[in-house]
Amino acid sequence: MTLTIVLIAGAALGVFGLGAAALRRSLIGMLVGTQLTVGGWILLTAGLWNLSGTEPSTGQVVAVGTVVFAVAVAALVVALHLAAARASRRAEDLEPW
Amino acid sequence: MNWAGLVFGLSLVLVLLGAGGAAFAQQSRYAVYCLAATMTGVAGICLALGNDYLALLVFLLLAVAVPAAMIAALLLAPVADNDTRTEGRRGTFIAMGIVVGFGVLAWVLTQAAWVPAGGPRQQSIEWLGSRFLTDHLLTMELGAALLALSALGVVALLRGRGACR
Repeated sequence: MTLTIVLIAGAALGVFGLGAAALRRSLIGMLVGTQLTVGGWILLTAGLWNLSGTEPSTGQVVAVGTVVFAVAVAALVVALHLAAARASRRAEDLEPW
Repeated sequence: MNWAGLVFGLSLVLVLLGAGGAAFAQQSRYAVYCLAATMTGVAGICLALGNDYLALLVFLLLAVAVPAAMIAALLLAPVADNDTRTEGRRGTFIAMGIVVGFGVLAWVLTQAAWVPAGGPRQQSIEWLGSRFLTDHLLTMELGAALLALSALGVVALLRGRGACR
């Protein structure tokens, strides 16, 4: 029962995340969607390996790798957002902080 | 009901409400707050399942650090108040895609014949560390390389051609 609930929650997060990424206009909004999908993937891996199979730590390894990937993507996207805003201010002859 | 069950139930509610809010909030700022709530719920579920280290990592990095960076970026460079693309039939198609995708994915995941749990359930941080340093050494090295590459990219974007002159 717990496994089913975790799988459904993970699926919901993944699909909501993809939908959010498709709905947003800004980079930060798309990043929110990507992070939601990452959260769903973490739930799926942690739940699947924890509640089935014989080696639960493999799920944690996959989930830690996913967290690292999510942090790297988030840092790049935030930097891209700031760089774009700076370039836009410079194009308008404003001080780009 | 024990504490793990209580944490699991509360976290599940937080995950579902937060995901809905993050997906459909009009403003990016509220979507980021909802994302932080969702990730706190994910950390709570990991905690209830016994994955303490993963729960701590998800909470500190994905529920606190990443949303804080996003909020800081939004304060420095605000985006439009209405950040959603709902013109025409796009919103309807996306909502239908979400419903259909969720139905298909949930059906596939719940109908699959997963191997029943068995054997020794080693989940301690020591065991996880030993797995990282033996079987999954390449994964750890690749993760470190990815983070280093990402840091280089951030520096290049903010101090390189995009920097103030």
